[in-house]
Amino acid sequence: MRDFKRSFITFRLVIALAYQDILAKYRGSILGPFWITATTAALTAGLGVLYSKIFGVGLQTYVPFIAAGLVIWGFISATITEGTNAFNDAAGILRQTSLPIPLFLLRVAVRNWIVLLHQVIIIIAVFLYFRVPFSAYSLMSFVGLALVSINLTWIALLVAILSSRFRDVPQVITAVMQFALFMTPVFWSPNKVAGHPLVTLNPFYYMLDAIRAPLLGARLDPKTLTVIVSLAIVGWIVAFLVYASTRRRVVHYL
Amino acid sequence: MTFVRVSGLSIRFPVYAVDHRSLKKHVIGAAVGGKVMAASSGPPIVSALRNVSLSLEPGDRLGLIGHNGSGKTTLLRALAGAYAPDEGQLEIRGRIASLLDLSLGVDPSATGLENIRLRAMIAGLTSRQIDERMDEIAEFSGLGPYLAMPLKTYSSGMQARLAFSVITSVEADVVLMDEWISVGDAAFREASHKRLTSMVDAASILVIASHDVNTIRSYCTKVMRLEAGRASSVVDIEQLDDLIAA
Repeated sequence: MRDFKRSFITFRLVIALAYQDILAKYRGSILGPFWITATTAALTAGLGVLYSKIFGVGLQTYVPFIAAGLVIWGFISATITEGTNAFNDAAGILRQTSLPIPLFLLRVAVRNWIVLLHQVIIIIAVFLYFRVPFSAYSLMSFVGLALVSINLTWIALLVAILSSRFRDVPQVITAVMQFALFMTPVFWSPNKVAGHPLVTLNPFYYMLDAIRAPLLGARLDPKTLTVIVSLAIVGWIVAFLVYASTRRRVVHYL
Repeated sequence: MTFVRVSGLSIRFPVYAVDHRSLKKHVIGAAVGGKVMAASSGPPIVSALRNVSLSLEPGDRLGLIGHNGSGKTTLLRALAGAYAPDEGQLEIRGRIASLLDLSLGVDPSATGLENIRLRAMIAGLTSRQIDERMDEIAEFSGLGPYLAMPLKTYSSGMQARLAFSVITSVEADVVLMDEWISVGDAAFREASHKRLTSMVDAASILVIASHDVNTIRSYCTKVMRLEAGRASSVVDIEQLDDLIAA
């Protein structure tokens, strides 16, 4: 527990490290982090036109749907995938200092929030273009985002611990996230397969839904809310126990 | 008041060889069961430190001697807080400066100035403290206009100068060092020696591991010998020769 508290105390360091990561990745490129924005924007436009034809849905409804879906999915998937290297990348620092281990987890989370901020531009642009009304419900998406972030952090923590112990895990996670992209209603509407276990048992569906539904002007489904809140509680208990039993070992795994 | 108290400290490393890190091995091992498991049950464990005790008060300068692999670095890392004790207690009061690895946490594509900031934050300075010290650090490094260039364009000597300038700008009560740090060319070496000495003098406790008897003689008041993870008692520097002969 103290480790988590200390990690928050050093939040400035977390932000500095996360910011430095972004700078390092895009140094020397003209668009910088907006490259991700550009990529997602192109994907949104392309998939939006194509799939709205395939599914026979109007651009008016489909493009905002997929824009929100892609941006949110990118955030979920990147946080989990990058979680695999959260500790491995920090091996040098962890071996020599008493800096708390969860700090490097927060670094991944903050890094992806920064990326998300760049991506939000797409959602805003698309919504303005298609005149998607902002309502009181839209604000609920912030609640969704907060809950999803809480969930992502425990998933990333488990993934980070496992990846430092077992070097196969990063590959497994990458494969799983790729698979999950197609199994989760990012491109297609969950209404078409309502009630199917692929949707009802898919935790990613609920995370996606918690942010996307209110964004598109729907009410935050109480079921979604219940699922992600319980997922957050159970997940954090498990992650916390695993962390408590491995924290002394993590530095040796590296 | 600053102090370092270690009692009955043991640190064991499970060595996760490539073999043991693979998930496949675990799964297959479990599926096959029996013999294979027995042959590779659990990672080999190295006892890096066994039942080490020591107590340091302000003014103490402890030298650690011993062969390679005797546990000197492990002890320093444990004191720095990186390794949690498997047995025993470890209590340190005071700000710790661990000068164990100069190249820690640097970003090769960032400029010298950015790296100073990053490195100083890892060392525990706040942004305000960094702002206050920036000029002094930059000046001491003597890198001038190069500070605005990415670190990857530096020679290894220049990188070491930069790192040295940053980590020695931190005030600390307890200084941990793995060999006396010596960087740069002849002129810088002299200046850096002075700077490091004044940092060490300002600190109340120094723990240094060294293979060089002269280093130990010139900076330490006490000495301890490590041998395969076991520590001798802490003795006065006068008895260094006896300790080496023992």
